Amino acid sequence: MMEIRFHGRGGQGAVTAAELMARAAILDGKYAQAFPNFGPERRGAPVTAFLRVSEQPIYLREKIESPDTVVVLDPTLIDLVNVADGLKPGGMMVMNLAASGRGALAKYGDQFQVAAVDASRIAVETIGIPVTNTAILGSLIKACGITSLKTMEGPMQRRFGRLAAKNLLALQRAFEETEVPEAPAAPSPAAPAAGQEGCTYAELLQREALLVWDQLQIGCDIDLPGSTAAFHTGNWRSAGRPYIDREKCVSCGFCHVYCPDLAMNFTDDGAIEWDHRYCKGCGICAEECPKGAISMREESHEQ
Amino acid sequence: MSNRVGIEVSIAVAEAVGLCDVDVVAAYPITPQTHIVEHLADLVAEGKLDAEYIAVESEHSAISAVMGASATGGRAFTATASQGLALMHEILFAVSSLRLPVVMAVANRAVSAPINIWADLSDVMPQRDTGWVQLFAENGQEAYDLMVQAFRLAEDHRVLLPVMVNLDGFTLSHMIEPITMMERDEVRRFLPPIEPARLLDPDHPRSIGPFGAQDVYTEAKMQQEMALLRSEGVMEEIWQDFEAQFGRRYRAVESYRTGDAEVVLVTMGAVSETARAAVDEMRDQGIAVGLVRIRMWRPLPQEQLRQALEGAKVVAVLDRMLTPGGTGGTGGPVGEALRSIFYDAPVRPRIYEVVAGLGGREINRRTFKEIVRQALAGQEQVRQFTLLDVRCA
Repeated sequence: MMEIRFHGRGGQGAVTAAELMARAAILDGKYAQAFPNFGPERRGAPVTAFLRVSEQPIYLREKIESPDTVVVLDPTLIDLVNVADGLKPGGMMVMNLAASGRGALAKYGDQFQVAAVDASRIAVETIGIPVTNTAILGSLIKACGITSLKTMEGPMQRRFGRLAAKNLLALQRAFEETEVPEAPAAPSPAAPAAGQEGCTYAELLQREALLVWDQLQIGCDIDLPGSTAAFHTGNWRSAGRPYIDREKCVSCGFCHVYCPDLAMNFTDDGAIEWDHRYCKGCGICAEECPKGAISMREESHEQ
Repeated sequence: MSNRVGIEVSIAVAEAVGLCDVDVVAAYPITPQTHIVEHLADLVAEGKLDAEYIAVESEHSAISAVMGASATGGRAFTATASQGLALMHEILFAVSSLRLPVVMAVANRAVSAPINIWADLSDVMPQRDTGWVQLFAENGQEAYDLMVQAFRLAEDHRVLLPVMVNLDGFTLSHMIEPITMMERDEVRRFLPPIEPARLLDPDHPRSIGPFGAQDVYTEAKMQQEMALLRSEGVMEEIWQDFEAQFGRRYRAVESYRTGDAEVVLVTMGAVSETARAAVDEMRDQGIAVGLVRIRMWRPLPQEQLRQALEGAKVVAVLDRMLTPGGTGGTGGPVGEALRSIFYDAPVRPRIYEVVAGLGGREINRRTFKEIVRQALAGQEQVRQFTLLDVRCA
């Protein structure tokens, strides 16, 4: 049995990717399961999805703790979540990485087999938008087999209808452009994932910073006013952020009024300032700015 | 004795709530509970009780309003019955989970259909698992006293849980009987002003009832459960204090003539007095019968019940609610609880279970004598319970 975990952001199609692959494997006569990490759904928030494929019937309804392979749809996730959590030593990582961002290869290359592809560029060139879920499946098939490009046609047709051709092209292109290096010679044993066998209860408590039952406030209250401020929804931002042209800005405050997350605020001297902690990158501010002073551009990671 | 008066139990219950200086009453009328909140409305309207009376449009709103009032630190009360309690169901969980010390009186009544306004326990038993402390009164004095004790238990910082005081509809709620009334200053001595553990206060903002995902929900339930279990001991302390001040003694489980009893009846609520009279008459005829009455149903005083019933050959339990579909194995919730308590005991009594009194069908001394006769005859139950007096072809 092969177990695969997908990392993406809400709306990028990680769940759909797992589902398409499962449908294809089932068409091939195998057994497969695809399922999301169930929870509140939020566009842009880091999400995971799971895929199991086996020649034998699968009798498991649990999350995948020790995947054989992880698939990373969005390169910005690497700094945000531990995408290698629980990955078996020497396991496969299928990663969407631009040619300029291959530093991640060094980070994981010693322990894992990292198959990299610039899926964002392929998606833009074939589909027209940077939605990488179908492209990355081409890389996954190249790296792990599981099914064939041919078998994928049916599930893709059924899912995307008239957009299937473009997505199949993305799949094909990524398959061709993916480089799969040799497995590392002597991978070091992985630390057990949280909650996994080998991880003690005390370790889990410490690692997850969880409270035991009698440390909770009465009724599970939170006695910090405005505690959602600690929840940085800026983590959900992936497709660019607003840039303000100070020459054009007249401090009218439209962006401040329209911003659903109070991420556009006045400074003490009356200028508009962008708050990266809460901006989800929705672009409403740029749309509403009467002076055209705000533009949405890809975020440079040096910032 | 100076304050002993003849009074309708519902009115006495309302008077007790008034003596507790409640801040907010929100209620919707429903038979047979209506007299309780009507009288509270009178007390407020006549200026005898300085409280906010909120006339709401449904029981769902009534319990929601008292929940909010309690969260702001007020002492809050409501009352209901039957369908009204069912309509509150959703919010009952929130009140206990948020650890708000609301007190509610329930004038127990059957639930529809067929529509039926008379007493049984079909309304309260489906609320068994909502996390409330649940007490059952046997007579008017007890219903009256329990109201005052309930506020003290709910507000104790070791507990902080809502308390439901059950009194049988009509057979108790509408009875005129002698009750020794308390004085306001006596009640104030017994029940100090509420000291909220935390409250909704604009000057000290906090979130009550936030989102709790998989990583915290189980711990929240554990915390709540430990408080509910703790309430048994706290109630015992309160009952000792009450006895010291007022001379009336209460226990979670009451035993009557069980010493050498071969068969012990188990009852809850107002039918227990009739059962006691039946026990006396059967004893006069030489039948070794006793009675155990459950006053505290949640938390279930398991150890006290086990001890009270130890040594009995047969335990004859009366349930006044049917557990639908559980009938092959159990009859009603009390029978089920007793079987469970004795499962691990080295010596187990035979448990003879009778479901009776549904929709207010009369339960009298003959009923208990018949139950004891059947239980002692070693009669094999066709099912594991007997639906007493059901007409069969």
